[in-house]
Amino acid sequence: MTRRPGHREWVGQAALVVVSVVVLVPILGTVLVSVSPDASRGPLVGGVTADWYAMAWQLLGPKVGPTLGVTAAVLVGAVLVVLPLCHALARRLVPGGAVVRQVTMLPLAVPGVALGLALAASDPGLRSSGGLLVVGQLLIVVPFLVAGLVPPLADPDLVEAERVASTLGAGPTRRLLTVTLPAIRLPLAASLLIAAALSIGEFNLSFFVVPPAHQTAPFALYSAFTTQRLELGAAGSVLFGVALVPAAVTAALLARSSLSRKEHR
Amino acid sequence: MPLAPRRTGWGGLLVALPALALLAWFLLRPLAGLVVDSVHLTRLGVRTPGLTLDNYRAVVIDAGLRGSLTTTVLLSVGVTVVTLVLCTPAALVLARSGPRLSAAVDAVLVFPLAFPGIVIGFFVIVLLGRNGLVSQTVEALTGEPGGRWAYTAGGLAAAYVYFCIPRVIGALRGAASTLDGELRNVAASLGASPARVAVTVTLPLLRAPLLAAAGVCMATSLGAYGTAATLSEGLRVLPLDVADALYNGGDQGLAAALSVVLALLAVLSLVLCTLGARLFDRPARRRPHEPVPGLLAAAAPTGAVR
Repeated sequence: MTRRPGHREWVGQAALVVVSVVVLVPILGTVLVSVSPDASRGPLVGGVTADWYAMAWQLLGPKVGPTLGVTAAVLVGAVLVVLPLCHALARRLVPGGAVVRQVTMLPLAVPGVALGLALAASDPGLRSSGGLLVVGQLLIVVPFLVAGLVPPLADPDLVEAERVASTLGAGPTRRLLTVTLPAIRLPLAASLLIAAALSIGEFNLSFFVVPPAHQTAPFALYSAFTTQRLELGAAGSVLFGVALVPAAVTAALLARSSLSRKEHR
Repeated sequence: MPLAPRRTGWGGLLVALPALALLAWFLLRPLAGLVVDSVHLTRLGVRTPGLTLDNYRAVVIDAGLRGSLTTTVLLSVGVTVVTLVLCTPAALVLARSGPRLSAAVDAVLVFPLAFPGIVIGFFVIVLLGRNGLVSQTVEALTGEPGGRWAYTAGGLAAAYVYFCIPRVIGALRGAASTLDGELRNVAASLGASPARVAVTVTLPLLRAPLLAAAGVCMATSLGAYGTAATLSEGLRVLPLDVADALYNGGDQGLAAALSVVLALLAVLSLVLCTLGARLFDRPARRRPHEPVPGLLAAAAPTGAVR
């Protein structure tokens, strides 16, 4: 292909560089601030310190258990409740499937604040136990599970394999464990990782339904932001990033490899 | 494609019932309750009988609320335009580039997707706050305090653009990679300038995905509570007023009405953009249920999570 180095190409490449810089600079800046003894005197003035990380960990550490507990409950709900729905939707067993799919997308369109307020008003009794928080976060991840799981579950090859297994006498449990789950393991893992990352960082909806006595990690981070110590908030943010980014990267890799696997067939 | 026989499901509809019950009881019922709350006045924390539109009227009459409604909408529109202008050329280049660059950019774009909205708001404070890195640099260069834009419209917009970037690039990049490069070459060989090729060939072909990306951007920005809360010393936006009405005013009715307005705006912008996209897309659309490939594309409609 003969490509003249034209004006347009240049614009696009410049835009790509700008986008990457815009995304990376705040992260690098935050890391820089988090290791500075006193950011108001300038970054790294007076050397490098880990003190802010120790303080941030004091704030966030106690929240790790409760946060992961909520996330684990959300993931269990995703597998036990939402995955069967995705399967039924993919097999077109749900009457009004198109309407149901639109309803599953509602938590994306309706802002988390609105949904959180609605849940807090409708079921205040479930709030103190944390049940409402789990339910709310499960709702938030439903659209991602449906978008990530229905297409692989609707794959004609899988439908055929399930049917063959069925005609050979495999019961539903056996089909699930030996045919369906192995076939969707990559998209399932990617969807669950996205769900975990969303659940760990969820703030908008959780703000209204979190049990006041058992707040999750984002709330501790938020209070670190309001202490006016820039370095403390920065250290907390980096700790959060260290927890979330690997999950997101792994999800991206899994989604990539499941796609390329499909293309190779 | 023939429909699978009923017995190849796992007990068919039965296993889907818990999820359907969950959606009905914890999604549709609370949202309906929200609408009901919004048409009742709250006095001393108790819902009064009698339907009224006073809560909605307040959004128009109350200067503060009207201000934050205007700010919210203008901010979301502005952020959407800026993000599209910035990301469209980037997505086009990305679609034409090799796998290595594309993987590297993927890795970069994971960050804005993974960080919660409050952290993205905090990024703006780190750079543009009172002791922010940019503020300090400006101060060192000019000798006067400056660059403290974190709590202005610009600061909020910067944070919103940050989390919109991966969503827009994710939505555009799949479509951009299917563009026929020959069309551009033909137009260029006929003497069209690069700018003219962009306006008359490339952009019209991308109308549908551009609209879809705009819808996602609008909906995400409208509901961005966490980001706005972190930067809440400055501008008022509608999600902040929801929390304020509930926790400082004890006014469930007003909070509900504001949420309904917010939800309607978000749903409306998504629906309008989707409809518009379908309209443009119709002739080219072959497989309507085909998912958009890639994680970023799958995660692109990340509306409510900020």
